[in-house]
Amino acid sequence: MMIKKITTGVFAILVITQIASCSNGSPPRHEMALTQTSIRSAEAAGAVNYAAKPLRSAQQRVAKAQQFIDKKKYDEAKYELQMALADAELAEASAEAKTSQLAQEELTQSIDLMKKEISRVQEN
Amino acid sequence: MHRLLMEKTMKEQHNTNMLKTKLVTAVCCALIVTGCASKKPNSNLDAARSTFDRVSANEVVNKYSTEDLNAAKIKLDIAIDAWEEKKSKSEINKRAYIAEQYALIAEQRSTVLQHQAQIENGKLERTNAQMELRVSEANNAKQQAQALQREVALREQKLQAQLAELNELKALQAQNTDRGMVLTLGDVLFDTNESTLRTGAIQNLDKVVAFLQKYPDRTLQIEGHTDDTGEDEYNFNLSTERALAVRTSLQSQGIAGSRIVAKGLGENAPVASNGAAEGRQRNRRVELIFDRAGQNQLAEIDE
Repeated sequence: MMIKKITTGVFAILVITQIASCSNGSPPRHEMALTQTSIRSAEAAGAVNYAAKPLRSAQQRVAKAQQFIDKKKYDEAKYELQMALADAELAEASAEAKTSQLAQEELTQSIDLMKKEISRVQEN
Repeated sequence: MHRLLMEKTMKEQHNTNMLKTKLVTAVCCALIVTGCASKKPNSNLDAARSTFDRVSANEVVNKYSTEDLNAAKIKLDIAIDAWEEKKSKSEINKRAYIAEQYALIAEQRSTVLQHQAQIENGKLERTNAQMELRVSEANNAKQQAQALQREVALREQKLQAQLAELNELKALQAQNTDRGMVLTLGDVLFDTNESTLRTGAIQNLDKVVAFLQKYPDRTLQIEGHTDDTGEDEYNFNLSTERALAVRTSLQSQGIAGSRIVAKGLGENAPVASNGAAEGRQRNRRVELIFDRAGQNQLAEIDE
Protein backbone atom coordinates (compact mmCIF):
# COMPACT_ATOMS: atom_id res chain seq x y z
CA MET A 1 0.00 0.00 0.00
CA MET A 2 2.91 2.29 0.87
CA ILE A 3 4.55 1.54 -2.45
CA LYS A 4 1.27 2.24 -4.19
CA LYS A 5 0.98 5.65 -2.58
CA ILE A 6 4.52 6.55 -3.47
CA THR A 7 3.98 5.46 -7.04
CA THR A 8 0.83 7.52 -7.21
CA GLY A 9 2.65 10.51 -5.78
CA VAL A 10 5.50 10.20 -8.23
CA PHE A 11 3.02 9.81 -11.06
CA ALA A 12 1.11 12.89 -10.01
CA ILE A 13 4.30 14.94 -9.81
CA LEU A 14 5.33 13.74 -13.24
CA VAL A 15 1.94 14.72 -14.66
CA ILE A 16 2.06 18.15 -13.01
CA THR A 17 5.60 18.78 -14.23
CA GLN A 18 4.55 17.70 -17.70
CA ILE A 19 1.61 20.07 -17.69
CA ALA A 20 3.69 22.86 -16.31
CA SER A 21 6.42 22.51 -18.89
CA CYS A 22 3.88 22.19 -21.66
CA SER A 23 2.18 25.47 -20.75
CA ASN A 24 5.57 27.26 -20.78
CA GLY A 25 6.16 26.58 -24.47
CA SER A 26 9.30 28.02 -26.05
CA PRO A 27 11.74 30.65 -24.68
CA PRO A 28 10.64 34.27 -25.43
CA ARG A 29 13.51 35.06 -27.79
CA HIS A 30 11.55 37.62 -29.73
CA GLU A 31 10.45 39.49 -26.57
CA MET A 32 14.02 39.48 -25.27
CA ALA A 33 15.39 40.97 -28.50
CA LEU A 34 12.62 43.57 -28.62
CA THR A 35 13.23 44.66 -25.02
CA GLN A 36 16.99 44.89 -25.48
CA THR A 37 16.51 47.02 -28.58
CA SER A 38 14.19 49.26 -26.62
CA ILE A 39 16.77 49.63 -23.82
CA ARG A 40 19.49 50.59 -26.32
CA SER A 41 17.15 53.10 -27.87
CA ALA A 42 16.42 54.59 -24.43
CA GLU A 43 20.15 54.84 -23.72
CA ALA A 44 20.67 56.58 -27.07
CA ALA A 45 17.94 59.07 -26.12
CA GLY A 46 19.88 60.03 -23.00
CA ALA A 47 18.09 57.89 -20.44
CA VAL A 48 21.35 57.28 -18.54
CA ASN A 49 21.30 60.94 -17.54
CA TYR A 50 17.65 61.88 -17.68
CA ALA A 51 15.69 58.68 -16.85
CA ALA A 52 18.08 56.56 -14.83
CA LYS A 53 15.40 54.94 -12.65
CA PRO A 54 13.20 53.30 -15.30
CA LEU A 55 16.29 52.43 -17.34
CA ARG A 56 17.87 50.60 -14.41
CA SER A 57 14.57 48.87 -13.68
CA ALA A 58 14.39 47.67 -17.30
CA GLN A 59 17.96 46.34 -17.17
CA GLN A 60 17.34 44.52 -13.90
CA ARG A 61 14.17 42.93 -15.24
CA VAL A 62 15.96 41.74 -18.36
CA ALA A 63 18.59 40.10 -16.17
CA LYS A 64 15.85 38.49 -14.12
CA ALA A 65 14.08 37.32 -17.29
CA GLN A 66 17.32 35.70 -18.44
CA GLN A 67 17.50 33.81 -15.14
CA PHE A 68 13.94 32.56 -15.67
CA ILE A 69 14.81 31.48 -19.20
CA ASP A 70 17.82 29.57 -17.87
CA LYS A 71 15.44 27.76 -15.51
CA LYS A 72 13.03 27.23 -18.41
CA LYS A 73 10.40 29.31 -16.61
CA TYR A 74 9.32 30.94 -19.84
CA ASP A 75 6.01 32.39 -18.63
CA GLU A 76 7.68 34.23 -15.79
CA ALA A 77 10.35 35.38 -18.22
CA LYS A 78 7.69 36.74 -20.57
CA TYR A 79 6.04 38.75 -17.82
CA GLU A 80 9.38 40.12 -16.73
CA LEU A 81 10.17 41.13 -20.28
CA GLN A 82 6.81 42.83 -20.71
CA MET A 83 7.50 44.91 -17.63
CA ALA A 84 11.06 45.57 -18.77
CA LEU A 85 9.75 46.76 -22.16
CA ALA A 86 7.34 49.14 -20.43
CA ASP A 87 10.23 50.44 -18.29
CA ALA A 88 12.48 50.92 -21.30
CA GLU A 89 9.80 52.74 -23.28
CA LEU A 90 9.10 54.99 -20.31
CA ALA A 91 12.83 55.65 -19.93
CA GLU A 92 13.10 56.65 -23.59
CA ALA A 93 10.00 58.87 -23.48
CA SER A 94 11.16 60.54 -20.25
CA ALA A 95 14.65 61.18 -21.63
CA GLU A 96 13.16 62.62 -24.82
CA ALA A 97 10.82 64.79 -22.77
CA LYS A 98 13.80 66.17 -20.88
CA THR A 99 16.05 66.72 -23.91
CA SER A 100 13.24 68.31 -25.90
CA GLN A 101 12.52 70.58 -22.94
CA LEU A 102 16.17 71.63 -22.84
CA ALA A 103 16.19 72.27 -26.57
CA GLN A 104 12.99 74.28 -26.29
CA GLU A 105 14.40 76.37 -23.44
CA GLU A 106 17.64 76.98 -25.33
CA LEU A 107 15.70 78.13 -28.36
CA THR A 108 13.54 80.44 -26.25
CA GLN A 109 16.68 81.91 -24.71
CA SER A 110 18.28 82.50 -28.09
CA ILE A 111 15.09 84.20 -29.31
CA ASP A 112 15.02 86.42 -26.21
CA LEU A 113 18.66 87.36 -26.78
CA MET A 114 17.92 88.18 -30.39
CA LYS A 115 14.96 90.34 -29.42
CA LYS A 116 17.16 92.24 -26.99
CA GLU A 117 19.72 92.67 -29.75
CA ILE A 118 16.99 93.97 -32.06
CA SER A 119 15.82 96.60 -29.59
CA ARG A 120 19.45 97.55 -28.91
CA VAL A 121 20.12 97.97 -32.65
CA GLN A 122 16.87 99.87 -33.16
CA GLU A 123 17.69 102.26 -30.34
CA ASN A 124 20.95 103.21 -32.01
CA MET B 1 -0.98 -16.04 -14.49
CA HIS B 2 -4.60 -15.17 -14.99
CA ARG B 3 -4.95 -14.41 -11.32
CA LEU B 4 -1.93 -12.24 -11.46
CA LEU B 5 -3.37 -10.34 -14.39
CA MET B 6 -6.65 -9.95 -12.59
CA GLU B 7 -4.90 -8.70 -9.55
CA LYS B 8 -2.98 -6.16 -11.61
CA THR B 9 -6.16 -4.99 -13.34
CA MET B 10 -7.82 -4.64 -9.97
CA LYS B 11 -4.88 -2.70 -8.69
CA GLU B 12 -5.05 -0.41 -11.64
CA GLN B 13 -8.76 -0.10 -11.18
CA HIS B 14 -8.11 0.78 -7.59
CA ASN B 15 -5.44 3.28 -8.59
CA THR B 16 -7.75 4.90 -11.11
CA ASN B 17 -10.46 5.13 -8.50
CA MET B 18 -8.03 6.64 -6.04
CA LEU B 19 -6.90 9.18 -8.67
CA LYS B 20 -10.48 10.05 -9.54
CA THR B 21 -11.31 10.59 -5.89
CA LYS B 22 -8.26 12.77 -5.46
CA LEU B 23 -9.04 14.73 -8.59
CA VAL B 24 -12.64 15.33 -7.54
CA THR B 25 -11.46 16.43 -4.12
CA ALA B 26 -8.88 18.76 -5.67
CA VAL B 27 -11.43 20.29 -8.05
CA CYS B 28 -13.89 20.71 -5.19
CA CYS B 29 -11.26 22.32 -3.05
CA ALA B 30 -10.29 24.64 -5.90
CA LEU B 31 -13.91 25.57 -6.47
CA ILE B 32 -14.43 26.26 -2.80
CA VAL B 33 -11.29 28.34 -2.61
CA THR B 34 -12.22 30.33 -5.70
CA GLY B 35 -15.78 30.73 -4.51
CA CYS B 36 -14.65 31.99 -1.15
CA ALA B 37 -12.15 34.47 -2.64
CA SER B 38 -14.17 37.61 -3.31
CA LYS B 39 -12.44 40.31 -5.43
CA LYS B 40 -9.99 41.73 -2.91
CA PRO B 41 -8.91 45.32 -3.56
CA ASN B 42 -5.45 45.53 -5.12
CA SER B 43 -3.44 48.64 -4.24
CA ASN B 44 -1.22 48.36 -7.34
CA LEU B 45 -4.25 48.22 -9.59
CA ASP B 46 -5.76 51.21 -7.80
CA ALA B 47 -2.53 53.13 -8.27
CA ALA B 48 -2.48 52.25 -11.99
CA ARG B 49 -6.11 53.32 -12.29
CA SER B 50 -5.52 56.67 -10.59
CA THR B 51 -2.39 57.33 -12.66
CA PHE B 52 -4.36 56.59 -15.81
CA ASP B 53 -7.20 58.88 -14.67
CA ARG B 54 -4.75 61.69 -13.97
CA VAL B 55 -2.99 61.25 -17.33
CA SER B 56 -6.24 60.98 -19.31
CA ALA B 57 -7.42 64.24 -17.75
CA ASN B 58 -4.23 65.98 -18.94
CA GLU B 59 -4.96 68.43 -21.76
CA VAL B 60 -1.53 68.04 -23.33
CA VAL B 61 -1.96 64.25 -23.46
CA ASN B 62 -5.38 64.62 -25.06
CA LYS B 63 -3.97 67.03 -27.62
CA TYR B 64 -0.85 65.12 -28.62
CA SER B 65 -0.97 61.47 -27.45
CA THR B 66 -4.44 59.98 -27.82
CA GLU B 67 -3.01 56.83 -29.38
CA ASP B 68 -0.63 56.25 -26.51
CA LEU B 69 -3.47 56.96 -24.11
CA ASN B 70 -5.60 54.33 -25.86
CA ALA B 71 -2.73 51.84 -25.62
CA ALA B 72 -2.47 52.57 -21.89
CA LYS B 73 -6.23 52.09 -21.57
CA ILE B 74 -5.97 48.63 -23.17
CA LYS B 75 -3.19 47.68 -20.73
CA LEU B 76 -5.31 48.91 -17.83
CA ASP B 77 -8.32 46.93 -19.08
CA ILE B 78 -6.16 43.78 -19.21
CA ALA B 79 -5.14 44.37 -15.60
CA ILE B 80 -8.74 44.98 -14.55
CA ASP B 81 -9.84 41.83 -16.40
CA ALA B 82 -7.17 39.83 -14.56
CA TRP B 83 -8.49 41.18 -11.30
CA GLU B 84 -12.13 40.49 -12.20
CA GLU B 85 -11.20 36.98 -13.28
CA LYS B 86 -9.54 36.63 -9.87
CA LYS B 87 -6.13 35.86 -11.28
CA SER B 88 -3.24 35.54 -8.85
CA LYS B 89 -2.19 38.63 -6.94
CA SER B 90 1.23 38.42 -8.56
CA GLU B 91 -0.28 38.46 -12.04
CA ILE B 92 -2.61 41.35 -11.24
CA ASN B 93 0.36 43.28 -9.80
CA LYS B 94 2.40 42.72 -12.95
CA ARG B 95 -0.49 43.74 -15.21
CA ALA B 96 -1.12 46.81 -13.06
CA TYR B 97 2.57 47.75 -13.18
CA ILE B 98 2.62 47.52 -16.97
CA ALA B 99 -0.61 49.54 -17.22
CA GLU B 100 0.76 52.29 -15.00
CA GLN B 101 4.03 52.48 -16.97
CA TYR B 102 2.12 52.88 -20.24
CA ALA B 103 0.00 55.67 -18.75
CA LEU B 104 3.24 57.43 -17.79
CA ILE B 105 4.66 56.75 -21.27
CA ALA B 106 1.63 58.48 -22.81
CA GLU B 107 2.22 61.43 -20.51
CA GLN B 108 5.95 61.72 -21.33
CA ARG B 109 5.40 61.33 -25.08
CA SER B 110 2.79 64.08 -25.06
CA THR B 111 5.36 66.34 -23.37
CA VAL B 112 7.88 65.48 -26.08
CA LEU B 113 5.38 66.32 -28.81
CA GLN B 114 4.38 69.53 -27.07
CA HIS B 115 8.04 70.59 -26.86
CA GLN B 116 8.57 69.70 -30.50
CA ALA B 117 5.59 71.82 -31.49
CA GLN B 118 6.95 74.69 -29.39
CA ILE B 119 10.35 74.24 -31.02
CA GLU B 120 8.78 74.43 -34.50
CA ASN B 121 7.04 77.68 -33.55
CA GLY B 122 10.24 78.91 -31.95
CA LYS B 123 12.23 78.26 -35.12
CA LEU B 124 9.75 80.38 -37.08
CA GLU B 125 9.96 83.09 -34.45
CA ARG B 126 13.75 82.91 -34.53
CA THR B 127 13.80 83.23 -38.33
CA ASN B 128 11.56 86.29 -38.10
CA ALA B 129 13.74 87.76 -35.39
CA GLN B 130 16.86 87.12 -37.48
CA MET B 131 15.28 88.88 -40.42
CA GLU B 132 14.21 91.78 -38.25
CA LEU B 133 17.70 92.02 -36.81
CA ARG B 134 19.26 92.09 -40.27
CA VAL B 135 16.82 94.75 -41.46
CA SER B 136 17.55 96.84 -38.38
CA GLU B 137 21.28 96.45 -38.84
CA ALA B 138 20.99 97.32 -42.52
CA ASN B 139 18.97 100.42 -41.63
CA ASN B 140 21.59 101.39 -39.10
CA ALA B 141 24.38 100.91 -41.62
CA LYS B 142 22.44 102.97 -44.14
CA GLN B 143 21.91 105.75 -41.63
CA GLN B 144 25.56 105.69 -40.68
CA ALA B 145 26.56 105.84 -44.34
CA GLN B 146 24.21 108.76 -44.89
CA ALA B 147 25.60 110.56 -41.84
CA LEU B 148 29.11 109.98 -43.16
CA GLN B 149 28.10 111.29 -46.58
CA ARG B 150 26.60 114.36 -44.98
CA GLU B 151 29.78 114.91 -42.99
CA VAL B 152 31.95 114.49 -46.06
CA ALA B 153 29.71 116.90 -47.99
CA LEU B 154 29.90 119.37 -45.14
CA ARG B 155 33.70 119.21 -45.03
CA GLU B 156 33.81 119.53 -48.79
CA GLN B 157 31.58 122.61 -48.58
CA LYS B 158 33.76 124.10 -45.87
CA LEU B 159 36.87 123.39 -47.87
CA GLN B 160 35.37 125.01 -50.94
CA ALA B 161 34.38 128.04 -48.89
CA GLN B 162 37.89 128.35 -47.49
CA LEU B 163 39.45 127.93 -50.90
CA ALA B 164 37.14 130.64 -52.23
CA GLU B 165 38.17 132.87 -49.33
CA LEU B 166 41.81 132.23 -50.05
CA ASN B 167 41.30 133.00 -53.72
CA GLU B 168 39.62 136.26 -52.84
CA LEU B 169 42.59 137.17 -50.65
CA LYS B 170 44.88 136.34 -53.53
CA ALA B 171 42.71 138.53 -55.77
CA LEU B 172 43.40 141.37 -53.31
CA GLN B 173 47.09 140.79 -54.15
CA ALA B 174 47.70 139.33 -50.69
CA GLN B 175 50.85 137.19 -50.40
CA ASN B 176 50.98 133.91 -48.61
CA THR B 177 53.78 134.29 -46.06
CA ASP B 178 54.77 132.51 -42.89
CA ARG B 179 52.90 135.27 -40.99
CA GLY B 180 49.73 134.50 -42.95
CA MET B 181 48.15 136.22 -45.90
CA VAL B 182 49.73 139.65 -46.12
CA LEU B 183 48.44 142.50 -48.26
CA THR B 184 51.02 145.25 -48.74
CA LEU B 185 49.66 148.67 -49.49
CA GLY B 186 52.40 150.93 -50.93
CA ASP B 187 52.99 154.59 -50.17
CA VAL B 188 49.88 155.45 -52.17
CA LEU B 189 47.70 155.85 -49.06
CA PHE B 190 49.46 158.83 -47.46
CA ASP B 191 51.26 161.99 -48.51
CA THR B 192 54.79 162.42 -47.20
CA ASN B 193 54.90 162.97 -43.45
CA GLU B 194 51.10 162.84 -43.31
CA SER B 195 49.01 160.38 -41.39
CA THR B 196 45.70 161.30 -43.01
CA LEU B 197 44.50 159.01 -45.74
CA ARG B 198 44.42 160.50 -49.18
CA THR B 199 40.93 160.99 -50.52
CA GLY B 200 41.38 158.32 -53.20
CA ALA B 201 43.02 155.91 -50.77
CA ILE B 202 39.76 155.04 -49.08
CA GLN B 203 38.60 153.44 -52.35
CA ASN B 204 41.74 151.29 -52.26
CA LEU B 205 40.49 149.86 -48.96
CA ASP B 206 37.00 149.10 -50.34
CA LYS B 207 37.98 145.59 -51.42
CA VAL B 208 39.41 144.89 -47.96
CA VAL B 209 36.19 146.11 -46.33
CA ALA B 210 34.14 143.94 -48.65
CA PHE B 211 36.32 140.95 -47.80
CA LEU B 212 36.07 141.49 -44.03
CA GLN B 213 32.30 141.91 -44.33
CA LYS B 214 32.02 138.69 -46.28
CA TYR B 215 34.16 136.76 -43.80
CA PRO B 216 33.20 137.98 -40.35
CA ASP B 217 35.44 135.38 -38.64
CA ARG B 218 38.57 136.97 -40.05
CA THR B 219 40.61 139.32 -37.93
CA LEU B 220 43.19 141.77 -39.15
CA GLN B 221 46.56 143.16 -38.03
CA ILE B 222 47.59 146.49 -39.46
CA GLU B 223 51.28 147.32 -39.43
CA GLY B 224 52.64 150.72 -40.38
CA HIS B 225 56.22 150.96 -41.74
CA THR B 226 58.50 153.83 -42.80
CA ASP B 227 61.90 154.23 -44.47
CA ASP B 228 64.92 155.29 -42.39
CA THR B 229 64.68 158.98 -43.25
CA GLY B 230 64.27 161.02 -40.04
CA GLU B 231 64.30 160.17 -36.33
CA ASP B 232 63.41 156.73 -35.09
CA GLU B 233 60.79 157.99 -32.69
CA TYR B 234 59.23 160.24 -35.31
CA ASN B 235 59.06 157.36 -37.75
CA PHE B 236 57.58 155.07 -35.08
CA ASN B 237 54.89 157.60 -34.23
CA LEU B 238 54.15 158.28 -37.89
CA SER B 239 53.81 154.59 -38.69
CA THR B 240 51.55 154.06 -35.64
CA GLU B 241 49.31 156.97 -36.59
CA ARG B 242 49.07 155.72 -40.16
CA ALA B 243 48.13 152.20 -38.98
CA LEU B 244 45.51 153.71 -36.68
CA ALA B 245 44.20 155.86 -39.56
CA VAL B 246 43.64 152.71 -41.64
CA ARG B 247 41.92 151.09 -38.67
CA THR B 248 39.67 154.11 -38.20
CA SER B 249 38.80 154.14 -41.87
CA LEU B 250 37.84 150.44 -41.77
CA GLN B 251 35.82 151.02 -38.60
CA SER B 252 34.01 153.92 -40.21
CA GLN B 253 32.98 151.53 -42.98
CA GLY B 254 31.40 149.17 -40.50
CA ILE B 255 34.18 146.75 -39.48
CA ALA B 256 34.21 146.12 -35.73
CA GLY B 257 37.26 147.57 -33.97
CA SER B 258 37.59 144.38 -31.95
CA ARG B 259 38.60 142.55 -35.14
CA ILE B 260 41.44 144.94 -35.92
CA VAL B 261 44.78 145.42 -34.18
CA ALA B 262 46.87 148.37 -35.41
CA LYS B 263 50.51 149.10 -34.57
CA GLY B 264 53.47 151.03 -35.94
CA LEU B 265 56.91 149.49 -36.42
CA GLY B 266 58.68 152.63 -37.70
CA GLU B 267 61.79 151.92 -39.74
CA ASN B 268 62.61 148.66 -37.90
CA ALA B 269 61.20 146.14 -40.39
CA PRO B 270 62.39 147.13 -43.86
CA VAL B 271 61.71 144.89 -46.86
CA ALA B 272 64.38 146.55 -49.02
CA SER B 273 67.57 148.59 -48.70
CA ASN B 274 67.09 152.23 -47.73
CA GLY B 275 70.15 153.14 -49.78
CA ALA B 276 68.20 153.89 -52.94
CA ALA B 277 65.00 155.80 -53.52
CA GLU B 278 63.31 152.72 -54.95
CA GLY B 279 64.09 150.71 -51.81
CA ARG B 280 62.90 153.47 -49.51
CA GLN B 281 59.65 153.65 -51.47
CA ARG B 282 59.12 149.93 -50.93
CA ASN B 283 59.81 150.29 -47.22
CA ARG B 284 57.16 153.01 -46.86
CA ARG B 285 54.14 150.86 -46.63
CA VAL B 286 51.17 149.57 -44.64
CA GLU B 287 50.79 145.79 -44.28
CA LEU B 288 47.44 144.14 -43.68
CA ILE B 289 47.89 140.69 -42.15
CA PHE B 290 44.85 138.49 -42.29
CA ASP B 291 44.78 136.04 -39.45
CA ARG B 292 45.99 132.53 -40.11
CA ALA B 293 43.15 130.68 -38.44
CA GLY B 294 41.46 129.97 -41.76
CA GLN B 295 44.71 128.66 -43.24
CA ASN B 296 45.29 126.39 -40.23
CA GLN B 297 41.87 124.89 -40.79
CA LEU B 298 42.76 124.38 -44.41
CA ALA B 299 45.91 122.57 -43.34
CA GLU B 300 43.79 120.32 -41.13
CA ILE B 301 41.48 119.49 -43.97
CA ASP B 302 44.38 118.78 -46.32
CA GLU B 303 45.60 116.16 -43.90
